[in-house]
Amino acid sequence: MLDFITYPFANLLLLLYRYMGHQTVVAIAALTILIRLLILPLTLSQQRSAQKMQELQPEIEKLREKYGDDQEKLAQEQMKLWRKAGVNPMGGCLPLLIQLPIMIALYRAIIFCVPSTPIQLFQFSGHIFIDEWLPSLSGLVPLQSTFLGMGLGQPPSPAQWWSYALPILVFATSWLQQRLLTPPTASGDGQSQAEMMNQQMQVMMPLMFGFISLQYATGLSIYFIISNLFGMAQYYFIRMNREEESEETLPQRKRRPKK
Amino acid sequence: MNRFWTQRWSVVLATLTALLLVTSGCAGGVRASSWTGLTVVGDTLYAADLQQARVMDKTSGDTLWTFPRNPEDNNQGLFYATPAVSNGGQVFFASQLETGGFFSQRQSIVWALDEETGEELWRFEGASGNYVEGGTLGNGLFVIGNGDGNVYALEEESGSLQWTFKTGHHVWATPLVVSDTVYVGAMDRHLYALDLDTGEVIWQFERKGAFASTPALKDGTLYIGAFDDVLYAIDAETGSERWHVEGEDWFWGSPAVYEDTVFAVDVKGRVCALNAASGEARWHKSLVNDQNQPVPVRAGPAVSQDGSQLFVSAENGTLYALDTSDGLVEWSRAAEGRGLSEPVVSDQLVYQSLILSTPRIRALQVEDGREAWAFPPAGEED
Repeated sequence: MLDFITYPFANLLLLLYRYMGHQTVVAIAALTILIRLLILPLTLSQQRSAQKMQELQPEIEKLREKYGDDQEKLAQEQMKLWRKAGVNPMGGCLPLLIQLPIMIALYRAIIFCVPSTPIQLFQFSGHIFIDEWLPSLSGLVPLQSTFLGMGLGQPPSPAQWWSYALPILVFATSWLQQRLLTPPTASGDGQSQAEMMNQQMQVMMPLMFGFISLQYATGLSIYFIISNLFGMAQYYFIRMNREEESEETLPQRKRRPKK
Repeated sequence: MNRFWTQRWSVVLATLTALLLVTSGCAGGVRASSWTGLTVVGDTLYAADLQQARVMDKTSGDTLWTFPRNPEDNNQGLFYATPAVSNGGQVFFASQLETGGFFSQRQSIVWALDEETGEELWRFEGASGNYVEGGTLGNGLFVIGNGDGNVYALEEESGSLQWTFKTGHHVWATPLVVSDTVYVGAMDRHLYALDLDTGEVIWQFERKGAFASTPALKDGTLYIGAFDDVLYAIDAETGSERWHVEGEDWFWGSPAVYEDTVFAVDVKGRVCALNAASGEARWHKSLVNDQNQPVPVRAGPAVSQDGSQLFVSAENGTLYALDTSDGLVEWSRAAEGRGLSEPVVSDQLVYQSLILSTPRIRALQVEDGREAWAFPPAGEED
């Protein structure tokens, strides 16, 4: 399943490992950044969608006050509003759906390159096509599989108790990213359904990623952590740009009334 | 409830649930993570048979005993590693048991069992990785490599740990013990020669690919292939290279040596016969399926006792019998499942172990490939 992305990822991981000092964690981090750059247009659209939703919150609150008892009507009016503003309410979910096969493929690529069982390695043996151009690459498999004493191809275990730091880091970075990227609701009193849902998501999503990290190879945790850090950096970069843009456009706006 | 948030929340939950299901494989039953090995000594076949260690009559295929007797009530994990049999009435198996849950832990166990009854004599639980190929006996020690990167030497009688040797990666190959020396390949791209009594390094041979197989020894020369697609001939005493030959892909299985010929097969299914002294090729044969596609081969070949036939178990379950003089296929017998273990030849039968299939073990006549017996018989689950 998803072999058409898994094997290219695994080959790319080999290539990165070869040129990044034979450090598996560095290669996984580099591959993560490449993947994030690849899906940058999608994540940017997700952030833009979130931004627009944030801007529409005062209007939605007004609708809620007006049609609070009539859920059907409220939903219709909300849809009208979103349509008018050019917002796709499910637009923010698309990047997440796209990331799902990527996550699965990357997980399998890590398992192929840092196998904990011989069957995993044998499955990869016939798919190292990069070997056609760089013959020494297939000899690199299996990659160095330990990082700070943890097996990158294995889930955290009590024998390496410190390996549980990774799921905690996954939870922490996911929570931070979620907090940054989820737009605050307009009411701000913590009582509206949207706000309650927001708060639940801010905890549940990171918790689920933390649980996934507990169950699967620690190499996947490296992907989650780097990916979350990238998401946060992207958020700050965009915010910085928006602030700069605002500063540039503000004097022009001020000048306009004088005309 | 606000429809937008409900929809979005549902998508997120569905996405993460799908991730969990897909990456966990969501398959029931026994999921093999390795292959199961066979050993024949005298009239008895010893088999690592997933949930049990199985001892059988090699001629009839009748089970003599199993350990544990009932894996449903007494789960001792999965048995993959090739068994070893001592002269002192012991048989050695290895298993690994995974405890599930978020704080799962692997329990890897070496078992010494009574050869006659299957009663446990001792067990060793000191390793933390997988036992893949199995161990070897020599000078009263049982030596075995583990996925945790260590080679363990255990006292044959008591199971007490005599020494360990730490490599830089998994040790998936069976060590070879010859007089006072242990030769063991490791995934850290080294072949080590260790002192059998102390575990100290005598010499090490490093190349650009992992060593995942047991070397074959003949007249003071070790023959072993590696994941750099090269087959090496090495002086067993000094560790210096005598010759090497390039293949088309990884050499994973152990080579077989008969008289002055070395037989080896790479994972692309290319079988070669080489002059043991010089490495000069005598013949090559690429195994292909009905669609003329290469057949992957993990395991090394086995030579018949009279040296006339070479048996190769392919990943697709087919067992090939080749003429050792020219590499022509004399017969082949397909099977369901995957044939990743080395075939074993004894007298007029060749034994093949299969995973993900029924039967899991079959015995074929070396002469024409007719099935002598299969376990469990086709259509019958044990």
